[in-house]
Amino acid sequence: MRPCSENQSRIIRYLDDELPGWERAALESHLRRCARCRRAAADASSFLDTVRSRRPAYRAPITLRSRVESIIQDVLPSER
Amino acid sequence: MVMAEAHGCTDFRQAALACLDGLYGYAMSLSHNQADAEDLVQDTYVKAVRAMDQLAPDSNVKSWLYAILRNAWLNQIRHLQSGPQFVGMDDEHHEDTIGRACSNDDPYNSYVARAERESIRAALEQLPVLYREVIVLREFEGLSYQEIAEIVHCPAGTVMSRLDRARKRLRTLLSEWSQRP
Repeated sequence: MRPCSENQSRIIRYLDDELPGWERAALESHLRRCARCRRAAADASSFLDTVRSRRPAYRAPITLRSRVESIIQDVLPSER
Repeated sequence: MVMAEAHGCTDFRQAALACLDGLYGYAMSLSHNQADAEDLVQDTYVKAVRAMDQLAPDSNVKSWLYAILRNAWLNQIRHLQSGPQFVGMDDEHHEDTIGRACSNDDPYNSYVARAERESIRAALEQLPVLYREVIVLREFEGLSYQEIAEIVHCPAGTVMSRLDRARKRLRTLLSEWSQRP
């Protein structure tokens, strides 16, 4: 179900925490009244949660970490 | 947000090292190759420590490092005189990173999480690099529209629309795959 057209991008910015305070309050008030937008927000939120919680778990290899630490150490001697 | 507030060596060192795994993940998403990703990250730190004096005290070290890495990658691409190379992922390394991330789960949960991660990784590989990188920077690294805009050198509005299209394509791919027998 599609949200009200004027709220389509607003819902995404809301979920991304990119909406200014006044717009955020206006949208929250709208969400309390509009089931269509509420459902669209819940649906988008669920998708984003899935992607974010399943991020590839890359960790820099230990050898790379050691090289990077050396690079920093060579230029920035320890202050301690 | 990682800021180089006092701009002391220790602050910079800590801020820079805190970004290492994220930078490596970003480099992997751009290059799809472990050796290239390692070179990119190493190159990034070499350039960063040389240019550290030019960094303003209230600068965002994290987005600065990501921008350096992206420029290094673009230079690498130009140097090779070819477009982005969608070469195969280093499966051995990939298995290693995913395996470590799931090692504390019970076997079934570990299997499901691994399969879902694999789907998302494979779907990301299908996206054009401009879409892939905004997904990585936003969903995996948690950067704001403005921080991403500084890294990819475009207005925040462009980041927003690029992200919107990237998410739609990612969602379509994941949905198609979940319906496969």
